[in-house]
Amino acid sequence: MKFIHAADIHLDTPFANIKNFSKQLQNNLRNSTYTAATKVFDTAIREHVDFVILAGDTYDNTEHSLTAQQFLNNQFTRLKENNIEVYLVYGNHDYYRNDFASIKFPENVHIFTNQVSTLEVESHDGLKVGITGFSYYQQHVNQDMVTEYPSRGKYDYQIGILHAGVGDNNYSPFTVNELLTKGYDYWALGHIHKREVLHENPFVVYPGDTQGRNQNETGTKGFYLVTVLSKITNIDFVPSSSYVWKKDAIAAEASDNLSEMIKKIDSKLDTDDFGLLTLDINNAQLLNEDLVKSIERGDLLHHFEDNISNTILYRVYLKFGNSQQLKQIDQRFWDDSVEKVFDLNSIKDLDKKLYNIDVLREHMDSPDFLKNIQELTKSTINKKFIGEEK
Amino acid sequence: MKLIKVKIYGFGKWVNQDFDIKSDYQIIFGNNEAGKTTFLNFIKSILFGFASGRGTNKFEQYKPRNGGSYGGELIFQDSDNNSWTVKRVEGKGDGDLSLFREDQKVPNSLLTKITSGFSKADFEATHVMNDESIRSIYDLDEQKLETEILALGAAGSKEWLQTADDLESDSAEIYKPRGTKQPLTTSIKRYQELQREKAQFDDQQVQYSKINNKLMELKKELATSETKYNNLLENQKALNNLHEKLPRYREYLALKQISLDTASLISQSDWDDYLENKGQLNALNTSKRRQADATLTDQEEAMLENYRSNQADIDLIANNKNKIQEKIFDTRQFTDSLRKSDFKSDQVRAENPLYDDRMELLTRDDIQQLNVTTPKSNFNLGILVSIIVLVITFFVPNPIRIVTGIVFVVTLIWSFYQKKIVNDSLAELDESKHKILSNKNLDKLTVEQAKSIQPVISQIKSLKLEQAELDSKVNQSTGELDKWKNLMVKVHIVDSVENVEDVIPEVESYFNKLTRLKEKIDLMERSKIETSEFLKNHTSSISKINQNLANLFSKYSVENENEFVDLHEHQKQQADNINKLNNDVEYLGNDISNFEKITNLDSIELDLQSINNQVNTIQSERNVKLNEQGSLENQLKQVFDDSAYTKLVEDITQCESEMIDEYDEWLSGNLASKWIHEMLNLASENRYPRMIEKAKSYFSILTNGNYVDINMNKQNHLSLTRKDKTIFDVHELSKGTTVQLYVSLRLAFVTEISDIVDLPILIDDAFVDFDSSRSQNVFKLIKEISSDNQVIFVTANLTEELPEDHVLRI
Repeated sequence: MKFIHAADIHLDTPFANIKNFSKQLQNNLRNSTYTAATKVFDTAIREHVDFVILAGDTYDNTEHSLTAQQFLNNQFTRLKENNIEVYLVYGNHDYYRNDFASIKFPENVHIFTNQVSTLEVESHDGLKVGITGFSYYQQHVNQDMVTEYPSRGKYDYQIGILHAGVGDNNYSPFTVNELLTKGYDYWALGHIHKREVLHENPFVVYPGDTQGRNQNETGTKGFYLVTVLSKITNIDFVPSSSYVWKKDAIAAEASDNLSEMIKKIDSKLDTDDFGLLTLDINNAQLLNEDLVKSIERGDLLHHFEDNISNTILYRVYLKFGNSQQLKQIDQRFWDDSVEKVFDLNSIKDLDKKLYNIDVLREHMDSPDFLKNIQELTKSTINKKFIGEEK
Repeated sequence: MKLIKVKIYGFGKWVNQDFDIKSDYQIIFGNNEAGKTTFLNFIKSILFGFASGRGTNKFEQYKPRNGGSYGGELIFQDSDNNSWTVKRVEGKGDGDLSLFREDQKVPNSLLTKITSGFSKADFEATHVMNDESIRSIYDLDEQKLETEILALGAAGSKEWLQTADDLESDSAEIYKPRGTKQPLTTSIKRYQELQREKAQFDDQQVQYSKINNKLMELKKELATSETKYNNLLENQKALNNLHEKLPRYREYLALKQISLDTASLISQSDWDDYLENKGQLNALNTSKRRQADATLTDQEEAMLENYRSNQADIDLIANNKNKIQEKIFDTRQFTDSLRKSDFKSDQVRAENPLYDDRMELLTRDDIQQLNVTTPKSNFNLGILVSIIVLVITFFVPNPIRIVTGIVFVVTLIWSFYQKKIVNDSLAELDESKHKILSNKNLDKLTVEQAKSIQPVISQIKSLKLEQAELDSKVNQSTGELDKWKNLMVKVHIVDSVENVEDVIPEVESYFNKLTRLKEKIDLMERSKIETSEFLKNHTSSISKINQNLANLFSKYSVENENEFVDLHEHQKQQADNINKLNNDVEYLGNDISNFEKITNLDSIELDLQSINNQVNTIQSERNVKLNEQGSLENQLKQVFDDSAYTKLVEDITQCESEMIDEYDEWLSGNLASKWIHEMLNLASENRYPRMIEKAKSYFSILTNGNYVDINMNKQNHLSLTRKDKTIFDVHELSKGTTVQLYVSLRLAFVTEISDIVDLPILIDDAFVDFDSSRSQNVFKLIKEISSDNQVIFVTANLTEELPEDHVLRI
């Protein structure tokens, strides 16, 4: 038996900060979620899989998804012609509403409702497979839905589909152990965009999204091709992202001028794969003040706007390192005060108006927020002392 | 370090004075103008330098007036009981400084051991309390207090605090809670606007379903209506067909009604035979008819008869035709002339009103008589003579006068006699004249008038004569014409004739007729001869033909030729009808059976009309629906094309990204400042909170426990809590309480940093107009803090019993 486990296709994801890129690149980026999805279905046909599992967030938004629906309808029809079933749950992004899904999918598509239920399918090699799952019918599911999942039934192979965050109260919180107690053979998770195998034997897998959607979703994205042979499950990662978000850094030197910087960056952009690079320029404190201003004005980005390299320079961050001034202070004082200064609650309390903006609230709740802000704060302080060394 | 000795060489009013100072607190008591403030200034000046001679500072120079040596020494004792001597005398700038440790001169830089790097200004701001420094309390806020205290905590603290401030103001340029123009604020506004815009977009799914459902429904309706429409069209077509053929069908029905007996059909050969015989007969009959034509009509017979019986008269008339015509002409002429003459006499009469028809012409004698004039009377002459005689009578002498008188009388009588004679003859004449005139009927006229009218009478008379002549001529010719006329009537040339004029054409016509009649009779005579010959030749063939025809007619049982021709005509009609019928049958085809199904043929028209209406209705209905379908399909296409929405979503994503960047920048600035403060606070071992705690306790002491808390309000200003929980802003406090607060904060500050900066606190009570109970509190406080920090307090108001060794009276 073979199946594909993909999640978080996020069709129609918009991209920020691409307005200065060429129209073609902008279009390619806009289409990248579709390109990735096509790869999933192409792979399914090529590999003759029994079924495809889409573990939620297939659409980025449900209000304007007709194009996406039509696209999926076409793809699902292709799968149907190839005797491939589709098992689909809705996630928090594409949670089901009454007026949603205007285009009727072919009958090989099985969509789970908000009640946990188990569907049965027989694989081409004669395995009786149970697939259990549920769909989001609202943006947030606060209760632990896993408790509703039945214990393993009388199937040769049982799969649980779950769109959720580990311990994330908004999105059907669960623990890996909880999953393991169900006795399933495979947990097809969705929601977390970072690919991660939480457990092997049985597999508990986040395939991640099929295409990185912003600078924080770095690395090659894709899905899993799962092969079950003699009850042994094997998973193979299949890349699908047409553009890979990358993070990299170069070190600035006191002698650097703009063209030196460009040369250094050029070497980072000359890659075989297509990518979008978010670049840190470390030791920016060493740079000439005018050069810093020029970079902050966006001169570097503008220079690379029309560059025809596989990797596109997406954004540049200047990182200012420790100055002499900082070194005068005992590092102990800085370190000891971190906890008090970088306290999420007090940051949230800083300004109610800001906290009430959903985007900013989500930003504050993002995993690396404190780490990033601390780094940025350090850089900000350091930046205050550039030029003072000389 | 503690100040233990003050040596003044010369400073203001002080000259060569030494004072021992208690290391905990020293009260310096003296009346006003005793030099207390100068004393405090001395300490300040030795430690941090003399005031410069410029500006207002020169009043703080305190150079001795007598020109003695300027300056002095301060002797401090450190915690190891080493003594430090700070000596400052007149010199460049702020004076010549020398520093000794245990009488050993040491570098001046070691002064920091005592001042801990404090500048004069720092010292004045923190350790010196006088009526000038108190004003600064109104400027105190948390940041200032904190900054001041943190500034003392670690190396380069001041710069750090400055950086923190800069970071914070940088950060405020990105976002301020109450700002409107900062980029993050603008981004948020934009984001909210975009979200609102997004909310206004109809849900695409809903729209799609709505339109799609409508479309499906419409398509279904259209399909149903199409069947109906097509059926109707079919019916319409059939009915239309019937309607078109209806006239022919009616014809067909009519033709069918006519019984088509084809029994005694005249054969073509018989008909041809008939035609041939008929032709021959016609030819023969033409000749016969010519003869028949030559017979006289009754009229002609009558005319001929009349002519024969009146031949002489008619011929006479014929011969006199021209004469009669001339007569007629003459008569007309005469009549005209008569009329003219008549008219003329009327005219003359009209011109002469005096004229009367009875008037007659005067004869020549008459005229002569009329011309006789009256004999001349001598009456006037007699009178004249008598007058002359009378006159003479007067002039002549009397004898003569008698003669003359007699003459006069005689003449006078004579003259009257004469006159009488004349008058008698005149009357006689008039009478004869009148007689003449009345004889001629002119008596109404005067003689002259009678004479003048003579030509008129003569003219009229001649006209009358002319008229009489014409009249007789007219009468004569009219009489002749009447004779002719009567003759014509008699011989029936004309009927009764009223107007003679009309006779001529009638006569002409009659004689024309007569001529023609004569010719005809001639012709008839000739023709009679010819015909009799022709008939002699053809009578047999006509009878043969007639026999043929008779045979033919009897064959077809008809009486005569007319019937035969009718029969043939009928037969032809029949043939036509049969032909038509066949055509109709062919034309109508199956429709005959369709027609036969219809009971009332008139209903076809109505049915067609109704079905036409139905077709029109359904057609327009369908058009509306088809339009709607097109519009819906278009809308559906547009629902798919949501580029505007896509752009909006991209804008939102972009805005979100910008907002996050700006937030991060704002937050990092904010946190950077906070971090620096926290770091400094740690480095300064949490002096600030401790200081505030101390200040609270001092304030409580000074206010006799009336105030229990010091806080910062939202504006970062000091706010004070009274023991009854009432909260006051610093500006609401009384002067006294404000001073107490200031003193508390200052003392707290100084005592808090006393481990770093161990300099005496200098208090000048010039501003402390405390009442006795407050003063007691001050002393109480001084005593308390003096365990940590040396206090030098100058006052003119010593109310409390204090240990004598702590009081220096000056």
